[in-house]
Amino acid sequence: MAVSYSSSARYGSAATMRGVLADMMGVAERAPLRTWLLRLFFRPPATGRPDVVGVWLAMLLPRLKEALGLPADHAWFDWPLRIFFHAPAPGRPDRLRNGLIQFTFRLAQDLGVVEVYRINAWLWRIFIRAPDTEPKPEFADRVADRIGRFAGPPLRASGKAYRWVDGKLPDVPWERWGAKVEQGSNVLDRLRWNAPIMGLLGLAILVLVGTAPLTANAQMTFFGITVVAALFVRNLPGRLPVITLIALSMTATFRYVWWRSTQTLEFRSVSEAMVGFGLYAAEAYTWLILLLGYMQTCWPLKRPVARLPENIDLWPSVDIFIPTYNEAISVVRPTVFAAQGIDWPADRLRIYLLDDGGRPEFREFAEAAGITYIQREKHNHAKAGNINHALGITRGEYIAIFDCDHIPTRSFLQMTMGSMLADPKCALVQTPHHFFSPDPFERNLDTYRKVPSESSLFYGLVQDGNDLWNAAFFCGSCAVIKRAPLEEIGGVAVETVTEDAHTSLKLHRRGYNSAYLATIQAAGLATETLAGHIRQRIRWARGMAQIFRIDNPLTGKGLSLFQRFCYSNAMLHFFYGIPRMIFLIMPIAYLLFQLYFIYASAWALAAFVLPHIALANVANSRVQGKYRHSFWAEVYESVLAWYVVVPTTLAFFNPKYGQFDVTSKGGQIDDGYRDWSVSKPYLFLVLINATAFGVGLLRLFYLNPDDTSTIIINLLWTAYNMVMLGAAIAVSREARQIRATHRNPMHVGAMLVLRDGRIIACHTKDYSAGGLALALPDAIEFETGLPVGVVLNLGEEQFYFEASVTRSAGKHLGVRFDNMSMEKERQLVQCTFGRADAWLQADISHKADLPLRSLVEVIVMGYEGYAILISELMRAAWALLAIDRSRPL
Amino acid sequence: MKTIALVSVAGGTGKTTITASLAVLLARHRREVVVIEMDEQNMLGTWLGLQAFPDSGLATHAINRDGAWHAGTFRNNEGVLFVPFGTIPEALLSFDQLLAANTHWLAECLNDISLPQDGIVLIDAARFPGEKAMQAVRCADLVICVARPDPAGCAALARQIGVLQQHSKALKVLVNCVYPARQLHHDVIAMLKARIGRDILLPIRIHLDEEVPRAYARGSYFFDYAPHSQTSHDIQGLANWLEAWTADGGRV
Repeated sequence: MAVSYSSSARYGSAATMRGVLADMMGVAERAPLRTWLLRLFFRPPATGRPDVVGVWLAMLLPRLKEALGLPADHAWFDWPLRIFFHAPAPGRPDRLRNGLIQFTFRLAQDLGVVEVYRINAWLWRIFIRAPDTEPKPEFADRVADRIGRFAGPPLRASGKAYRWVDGKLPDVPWERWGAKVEQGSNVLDRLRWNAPIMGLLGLAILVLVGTAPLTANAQMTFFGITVVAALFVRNLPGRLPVITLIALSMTATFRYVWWRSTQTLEFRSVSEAMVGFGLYAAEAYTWLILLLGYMQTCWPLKRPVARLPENIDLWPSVDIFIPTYNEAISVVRPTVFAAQGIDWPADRLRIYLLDDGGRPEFREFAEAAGITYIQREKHNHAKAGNINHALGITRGEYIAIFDCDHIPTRSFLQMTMGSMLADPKCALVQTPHHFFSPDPFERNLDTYRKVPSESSLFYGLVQDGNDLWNAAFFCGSCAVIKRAPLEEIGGVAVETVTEDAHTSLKLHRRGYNSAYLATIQAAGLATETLAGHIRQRIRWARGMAQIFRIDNPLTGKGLSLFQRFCYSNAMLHFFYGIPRMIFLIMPIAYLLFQLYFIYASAWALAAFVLPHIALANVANSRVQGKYRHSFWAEVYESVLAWYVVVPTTLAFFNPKYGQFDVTSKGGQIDDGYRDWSVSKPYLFLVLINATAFGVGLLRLFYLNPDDTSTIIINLLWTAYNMVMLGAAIAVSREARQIRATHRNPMHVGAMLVLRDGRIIACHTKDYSAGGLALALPDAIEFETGLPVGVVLNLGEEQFYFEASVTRSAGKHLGVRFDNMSMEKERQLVQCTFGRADAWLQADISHKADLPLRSLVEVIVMGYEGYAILISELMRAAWALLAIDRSRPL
Repeated sequence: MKTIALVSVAGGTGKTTITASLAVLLARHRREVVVIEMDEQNMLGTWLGLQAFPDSGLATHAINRDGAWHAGTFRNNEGVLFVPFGTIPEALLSFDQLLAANTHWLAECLNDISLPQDGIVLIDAARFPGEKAMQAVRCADLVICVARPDPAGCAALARQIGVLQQHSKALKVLVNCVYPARQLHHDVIAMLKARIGRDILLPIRIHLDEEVPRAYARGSYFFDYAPHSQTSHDIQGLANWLEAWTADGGRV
C-alpha cells in the first residue's frame, strides 16, 4: 500500500506529542513501556499516597520472569517466546530463540526499526512508516517471500522426492487421455438416457459414501487420503482432473452436510437453537452456492469464434446503440470514434447516441462526428427505457449495445456476428466487460494487474460455464442482440433494475439461445470509488433479488433444468449478505455469550469441516485460480456483505422498491482520504470481533480453562474474520488516483518524426487518452516541449499525429498530442483502444493462484488495514491535540 | 538465379539508391549478387563505394567493341559484383540503336552470367518507357517499379502500368520517399492502391529520411550510418521480402 503521510506525522513531531500524552497520563516522558501500559489502565495515585498497583507490579515482574525462565539479558521478544515454549535444557542450543532473533532482525530491517531491543520503537514502526524511506508497495510480496524462504527447504525436499518418484513412474500421456475423455464424453452425451442414468448413479455413490458412518478418527484418515489424492490430481492437465477434484470436494462436503444435519443440531436452550439454526442456514446457503458454482464452472464451453459468410453481401445490418445519461462528453467521445472504426459494411452500420440527458453539446458532437443523435421526451425506466425508445425508431436487424464508456475494438462485430448467423435461434452474443483502470479494490489494495479483479471470475469463467448450458446472460453492454426476438419480448425488460439479466431470461424462456465469447472486444473505466462500487453492487443485488421474486427462473415456462440452475445461482449469489454477516459475528455467540451453536466435539467438528473446506479450496483453486485467487472471494464478500443485506432483503419482500443508479466514472481523486461513512460498518464489526477475541483470551486462561479446543476454534475464526475486516478497512481507504487518464500497455511499432528530417523507428510502450510513451532504439535527449510527430500504424494505414515532448529520459520518451482535430482524435482512438488486438494480453499478466501465498497476501492486507487505521486515528488525535493547544489558556 | 529489374517511370524516385542498398544487404545475407547498370546516369557506382564515376562500362564496351560487356566489372568490399554503364555522352544514341537492333542484347548478356541457384542479378534500369528499361523488364523474373508519392509521377505510373504488366513476368510497385507528416502522400498512396490494386502495390513503403543523403555525403551506407532510422528498417524489410521471394521459387 502506498500511503503518504504529511510531515506532521513524522517521528520528529512525535516527541512533542509524546510529551503532551505523558502530561495527560501522568507519566514521565522517558518512562519504560510498562509504566505507560500501567497508566493506561490505572490512574496515577493522588499526591502523597503510595502507588499500590505500581509497587505490586514491580514486585510481580521479577517473579514472572523467574517462572518463565527469562535470561538476565532478555529482550522483549523473549516474553512471547517463553510464554509459549519452555527454555531448552541448560547446555543445549536454543534454536527457536536464535531463529526468532534472526527473523526479528530481518523484520526490523524491513520496517526500519533502528532500536531492535526497544519495544516502543517496534510499536512505533509497525504503525508509522520510517521517515524518508520510499513506500514499499510489495510488502505483501516480501512477507510471502520471507515465509517462502522459511518454508522453502522442506518444500524443496518434498518436491525433490516427488520428482524422484515421478521419474520412476512410467510416462502417462495426460493430454492425449484428456482429449480422448472429451471425445468420449461428447459421444456419451448423444446417448439418450445417458445423462439421467449417470446422474442417478453418481447420486447413489454420493449418498452411499456420504452417509457411511465413521468415527472422528476414521474420518480424519479419510480426510488425509482424499487431500493427498486431491493435491496429486490438482497438477494434472485437462478437464478430467477438474471433474475429479469437484467429485472429491462434493463427497467431503456431502459427508459434512450429512453429519452436520444429523448429529450436530441438538441444543440446550431456545437461544442456542436460534443461533445454531441461524448458522446452519447460513452454511446451507454456502453449500448450495458451492454446488451450483461447480455445476456452472466445471466445463467452460470455450466457444470458438464462428466464421462469417465469405460473401459480404450476406452480412446483416447492425445498429450500434450508445446510451448515455449524465456522463461527461470526454467519456463518450472515444466510444463513438471507436464504434465508427468497427469493421463492417458501411451501408449496414448505423451508430446512435441515445442521450437521456438531453444535452445540446451531445447533439452537436453527434452531428459533427456523423452519427445519429436520439433524445426522448419521457425519461421513464432509465437505460432500459432509453434503449426501448431507440428500438422504436431504428431498423437494423441486429443491435449492438455499448455503455458510453465501453470502447469497442474494430473486430467486435466480425467476432460476434458469426455466432449469431450460425444459429438462427441465437438472440444474444455477449462479450466480457473489461476495465482498463483499477477498480477500488485494485487501487486501494495496490493489486492492479497482480491479482485477478473481482469481475474477472464472472467474465472469465462463470459466463463461459453458463454458455455450456445455454444460459449465458446479457450484461447490459458489449453485446449484440437480434432485433426480432427482442421486439417479441417487448424490448429490454423494465420491471427490474437489472434489466439486462432479466431481458436474457425472457429470451431464454421464449426458446432463444445465447452465446458467450470470452474474448475481450471492448474496454472501459472501472468504478472510481468504493462508495460508487458498492452502489453499483447494491443495484445488481437488488435487481437480481427482484427478478428472483417476480420472474423466478426456477418456475415458469420455457427453461431447461440447467438454465434454471444457472440463473438461480446468478441470483442467489447476491444473497450472500446475510450468511456472510452471520459468519462475521457468529463466534461472539460463544465467546461473549457462551452459546454452543454446534453440538459436537471440536475434534469431530475438525474431522468433518476441514475436509469440506480444504477440498473445496483445492477444487476452486483449480477451477477458478486463473480468474480468482483463493481467499479473495471472502475479501470481496466481506467488503460488500453489510451493504447488500438490506437492499436484497427489501427487494425480496418488495420487488417494486428501488430505482436505477448511474455509476460515476472517469474522475480523479486528488488526495488519499477515508470515506468514514463507508468504513463505519467494518469498524463496528471489528470492534465486536476484537471484544470477542479479548474475552476469548480471558476465557482461555481464566474463565473456562477446560474448554480449550472450542475456545481456540472460535478464536481462530475470530482472527480470520478480523483479517477479512482489516482488508475491508484497507479497501475503504481511497488511495490517491493521480492520473486522470489511464495508461494502457501497447507494444507496436511506431515512428518518431523529427523536425530535422529524421524519422526514427521506435515502438510504443503505453498510451492514454492524451499521450503516448515511446521506447526509442537509442538514448536521445529531447527538450521538453519540443514539437515532434508520431506515426502509428493501423494495418497498412499510417496515421500521423502532432505531439510535443513531455518527458525525455534516455530511451524513454513521453509525448502529449497537440492540435487534435476531431478527425485526428478518431484516428488516435482507432489506432489505440480500437485495435483488434488491444486487449489480447489483458488477462495474461496475472500470477498463478497459489492458495497458501494467497492466504498470506490476504492476511498482510488485513494487517495493513489496521496499520492504516491506527495511523489515521493517531493523526486525528494529534490534530485534536493541536487544536486544543492552540487555544489561549 | 533470379533476375530482378528496378525501373521507374519518373526521374528522381530513388531507384538507384534502393538498388545499391538491396545489393549490399542481399550480399550480407550471403547471396551472390550481380548488379547491372542499364542507366546512362552512371551513378550506381558511387552508391556502392566507388570514389569516382567509372569511364568504361557495358555501354562503352558494347559500342567500342573493345572487350566483353562485363570487362569493367567491380567487386566492392561487401562482395557485390557490379557492372557499370560507363560514361558515353556522345555515344548514348548509338547504344540505344544497338539495343533496338538486337532486342535480346541484355538477355544474351545475362546468359553469360553463371551464378549459383540462389544468386541474384539486380538490374538498375533507366526510365520506362525506353529500350534499356524495356529489355530489363523483359529479362527480369520480377520487376520492381519505384515511384514517389507525388500526383504527377503516379499519374504517369498509372498510364504505364498496363504496358509494364504486359511485358513483365511479375510486377510490384514500391513507393519510396514517403513522408508521413504530409497528408498528400497518404492520399496518393490510397489513390494508387485503388488504381493499380493491392496485389501490385507492395505493402512495404520506404520513408523519406535526411539521414540517406547525409550518409551518402559521408560515403557510408545509410543503413549502417543510421540503423535506427525508419528508412533503414524499411530497406531491411524490403531485402528480407525479396530474399523470401527468391527462396519461395519466385512466386509473388
